[in-house]
Amino acid sequence: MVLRPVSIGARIKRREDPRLIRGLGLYTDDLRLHGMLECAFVRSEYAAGRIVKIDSTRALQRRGVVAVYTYDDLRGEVARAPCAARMDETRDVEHPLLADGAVRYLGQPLALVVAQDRYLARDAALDVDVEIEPGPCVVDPLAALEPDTPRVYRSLPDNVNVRIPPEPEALAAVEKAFAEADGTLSLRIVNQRVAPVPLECRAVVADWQEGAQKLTVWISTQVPHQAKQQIAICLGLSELGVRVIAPEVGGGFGCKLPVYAEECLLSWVSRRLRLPVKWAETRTENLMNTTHGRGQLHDVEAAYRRNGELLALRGRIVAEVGAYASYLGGAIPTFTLLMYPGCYRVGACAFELVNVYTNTMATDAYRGAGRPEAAYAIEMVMDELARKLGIDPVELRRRNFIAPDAFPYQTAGGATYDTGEYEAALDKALDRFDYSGARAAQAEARSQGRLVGIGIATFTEICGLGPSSNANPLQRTGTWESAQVRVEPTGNVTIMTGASPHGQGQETAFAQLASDAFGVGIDDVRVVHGDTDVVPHGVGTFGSRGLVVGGTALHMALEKVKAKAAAIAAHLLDTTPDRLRFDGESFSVAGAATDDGAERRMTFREVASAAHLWNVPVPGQEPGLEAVARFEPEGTTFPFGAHLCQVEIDRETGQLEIQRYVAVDDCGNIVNPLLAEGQRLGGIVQGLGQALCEQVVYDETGQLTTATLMDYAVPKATMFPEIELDSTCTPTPLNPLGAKGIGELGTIGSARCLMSAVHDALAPLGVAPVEMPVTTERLWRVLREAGA
Amino acid sequence: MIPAEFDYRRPDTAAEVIALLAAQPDAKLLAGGMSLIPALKHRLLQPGVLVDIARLPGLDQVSERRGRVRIGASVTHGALERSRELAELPLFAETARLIGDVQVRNRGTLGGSLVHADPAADWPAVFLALDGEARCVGPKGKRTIPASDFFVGMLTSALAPDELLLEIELRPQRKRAGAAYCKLRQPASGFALVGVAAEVSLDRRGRCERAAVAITGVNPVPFRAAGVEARLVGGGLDAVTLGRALGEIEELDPMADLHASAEYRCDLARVYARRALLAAAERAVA
Amino acid sequence: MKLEGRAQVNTAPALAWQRINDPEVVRRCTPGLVRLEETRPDHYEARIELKLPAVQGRFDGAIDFLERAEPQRLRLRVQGKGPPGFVSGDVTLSLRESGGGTEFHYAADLQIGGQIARLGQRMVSGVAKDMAAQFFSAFDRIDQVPAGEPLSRSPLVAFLGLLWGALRRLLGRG
Repeated sequence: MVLRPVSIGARIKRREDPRLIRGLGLYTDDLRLHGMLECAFVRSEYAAGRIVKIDSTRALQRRGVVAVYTYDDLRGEVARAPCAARMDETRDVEHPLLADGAVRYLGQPLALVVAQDRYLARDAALDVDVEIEPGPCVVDPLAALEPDTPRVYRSLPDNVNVRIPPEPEALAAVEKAFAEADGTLSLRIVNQRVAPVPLECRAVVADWQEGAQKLTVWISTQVPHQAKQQIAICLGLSELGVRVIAPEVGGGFGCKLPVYAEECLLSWVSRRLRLPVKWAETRTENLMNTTHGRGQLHDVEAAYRRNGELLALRGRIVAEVGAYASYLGGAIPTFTLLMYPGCYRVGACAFELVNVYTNTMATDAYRGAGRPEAAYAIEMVMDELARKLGIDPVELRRRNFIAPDAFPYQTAGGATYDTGEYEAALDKALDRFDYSGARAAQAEARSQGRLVGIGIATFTEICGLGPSSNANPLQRTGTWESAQVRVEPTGNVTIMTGASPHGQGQETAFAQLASDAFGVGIDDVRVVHGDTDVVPHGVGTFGSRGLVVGGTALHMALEKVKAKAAAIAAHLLDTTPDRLRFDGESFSVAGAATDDGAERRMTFREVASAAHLWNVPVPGQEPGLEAVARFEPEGTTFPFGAHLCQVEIDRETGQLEIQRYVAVDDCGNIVNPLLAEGQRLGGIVQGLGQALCEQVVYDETGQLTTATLMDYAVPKATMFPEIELDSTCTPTPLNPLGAKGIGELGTIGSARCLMSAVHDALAPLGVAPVEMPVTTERLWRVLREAGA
Repeated sequence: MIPAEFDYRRPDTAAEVIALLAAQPDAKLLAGGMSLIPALKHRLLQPGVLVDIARLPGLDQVSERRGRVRIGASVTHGALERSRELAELPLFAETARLIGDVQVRNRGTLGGSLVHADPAADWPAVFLALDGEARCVGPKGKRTIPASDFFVGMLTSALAPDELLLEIELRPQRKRAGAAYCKLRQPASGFALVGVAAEVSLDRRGRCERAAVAITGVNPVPFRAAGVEARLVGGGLDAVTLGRALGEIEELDPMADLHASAEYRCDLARVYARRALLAAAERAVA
Repeated sequence: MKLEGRAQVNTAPALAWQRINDPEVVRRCTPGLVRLEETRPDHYEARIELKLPAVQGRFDGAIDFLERAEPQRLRLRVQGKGPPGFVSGDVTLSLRESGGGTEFHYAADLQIGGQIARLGQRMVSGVAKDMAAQFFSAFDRIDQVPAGEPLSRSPLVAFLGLLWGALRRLLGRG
């Protein structure tokens, strides 16, 4: 008998790719429904002001134009745009689907044009006569906190969205630590605003069926079930009347986690016109009006002992929420608070968080969502402390790591870490990098006047979101995940997952789980996702939860099915389930043979067939072979890693070359190493992009100067050396797969790792830390000012 | 990012192109489309008709005869990167490789880049440094425009709206001559923050006989650094001499944007001019 | 956005002052300026139709003279609006005798919005320079060219330069 290779752990190529790379995937914008109209938005050209008039007379005269809607048409018909991140202390504001008199950010939707096709819609949108009286505007978050600054909302006394003071006990502990410290260090740490730039821009198709009284909405989203609920609420419909489908989704990185005003508005329009309507975002709209990420400024103070022990952290985090609180935007910075201590034994932590409104696009989740900012900060503290104390940064980290036997570990940030082997990952990275050799070579290069730097980042993050106690009631759902497994009479398997993927490769990884569970081939497993009428209610993909929570739900459903299959097999083999063995393909009776000496066995496929033919009823069982399971995690997982990199800076031009990048990551058990590596490479490069070249730039009047890819610099493959990947494996006890999550891990550490190397390269010049992004001109100025 | 309505024509001969341009004053020539299509999508341009010349016969050839190289206007950057005919002129492959990305190089054309006259495009520097000539045809017949007269303003070449660029021609390479192109890419667009094409020829004793230094990305119009060139003649091409010659580039009148200030561009111009000259000198010796 | 620059013209300061205050001269030196009309004292309404190889666009706007300190300084408030976006701000133009001619110094503090702000950042300063140079070159030749003939393709000082320069960018590679 040929043993079937085990799928889990195999480097299986993504099953999705052959169709995607040949252009055969079906994305939202590929949909063509009979009678479908297309839409274009009229958006504000000003960041702040008052609408004097919106006159659509001329636009409506154009051939092929069906309607132009403004806020007046929506009055009393729809609710505000969805927001799930209001905390008790939040100073709430309404974000209308179309501007209602005031405009508060560049590109805010003012009117929607519906026409026969997108070209006519765009022509007509340019014909809508808009007059806005510009008002005072505030773009800089610190300026927004000054007294007498322009206010984004006149109804509020200032520009604060929410201010969360530190807990009194935490504050007391921190003050005690500072009093006992040998020294303190203060830093200002900036994480600039960046744009997620998914390959596929946002898109919506809404189709109201008057006869069925049913709305179907195709959205390029990470969370179809949440979108269904929010659209139903916004339009005042029963959720039974709304079906959301996320077909192929070409990347999201968090920016397709919000349920957007545009999605609700298109739904309303389709219902109003009783016709299908489509809107597909342009790249400039994407850069301007899809949520941005990061945008945090920290003033942090660290208290330490002479031996390098970090005692306590305190300070203030100012986070830009933009002109309105997006779906989860206001909550993202709370992850920063939670993860501030990183992988170190920090005794006490007390931060004030201030979310600020400005006349800019809203921010929301972006790969890492609050955790890269925390990792960036604590790692920068480590580097600066190492420099101040004259301790090697590697050694300083060793002295502060949480020991492997201290888990589960309750941090001063308020998290409970599951497992960690930080030093093992670091050692592996150092070994791979040849750290001591690299330091020696660096000393040699420095003696020649070359600016060579070595950077390090050791980090952990929170993943696998998570216990539903963390979810916000406004999300109308917990943060568990669902899976359904349906075995067809042939033994082929259909899987339905609530963890609707947006490019992660669930169709491959989840099929691997089923393949191993039942002994069927990968190609005999179909993974269905993203359709709320088909898939049991689920939650979605964000926070590196696909495998950790969705995969575990699937594992549970597979186990349920397997238990039933065993009961059927036992019945048919005339034994009891506890006497059955499953060898990966067949059930057999332990130690028993038939009269003619053959083993008594049934393959899984035979059992599947029997379960449906049901000519031999099993007492107490229904026909069929399927199960639904939901996994509610007890806790979140904490993957971690150690990254090292080497850079050289051209003294004359400021040009930066990344010469080496070594990443050792630990995400627990891995189902498909190829997928995991893809996630890590993409994540690392996305973090490096923030450090190197990415930034959203508004001018002082709130105009966006990075509104095309000619000015918004996304990282390119040619900017990087081959990234060297290695891993350690520290499973979590919190789920049966032992998986911790990998989607964001690369991004958490890489931006800081690069900046650590840049600062190390500049160390001989004795300059202050450089801020991201390290553009060539920024470095050139530093070099010039240092007289290099 | 959605264009206005336009007509599309694809004539088979240069004569038809000229006739169309004459008949339709709001026509626009489409070659690789790497500049034009984005302009259309953003409605910076709304031509009534696009005249597609990308497949016009005869414009996609590179040939060399008795040292004179001719490159058709619709030869793509990618073709120049790989051209066997230009194996003796590594400057072309070197420049092509630094343009955009693979997709842009496979579509964008030499002619389009020159005629569009983007102040940060790469080929204008090479064309200027090599003293190329542009052959074009219009309603009044053919004419030749020397590189020195080709770039007349920001985004404006000497080509009239009713003319078609056919090819560029380069004189035979001098003895003991070498050329090089050095560039710092703008991180988003890949355009030159500064790009310098240099050509030098040496005398028997290794001294500079002639130097050409053409700079793109800095001024609103690409230019030759005539003062620098004059100071280089007769000297050696070592770092010290170059430093002295490049002390001032008289023509500098720098642009500034998000990616590089005027000050930074000026400094980069000096650094990249030196690097390009050193690389060119090395090739001249080899 | 702040812009400034200098330009040397051969015209003597007194005549230069006269010309720069003459709407007809300004109109003729500025290509695409199809209308410049004084609708009330020191208030001009203008229409500019840009038709350049890489960019086209139409702007309607107004110019207000805030200060005329003869013969050395002129302060204008400009505003223009059209499909490609809007520009508004103050422009200061200073004149100084220099080598028998006049040296102009221009400084503008402008707000740019709409399409040109999103697409036009790359070369705003470059275009302003290029266009200012052409404006002043036409300025010297105004007497030699008959009234009906075009002088150049150039802007009303930095203002127009901005408009179209701003517009321009984005234009990738051919």
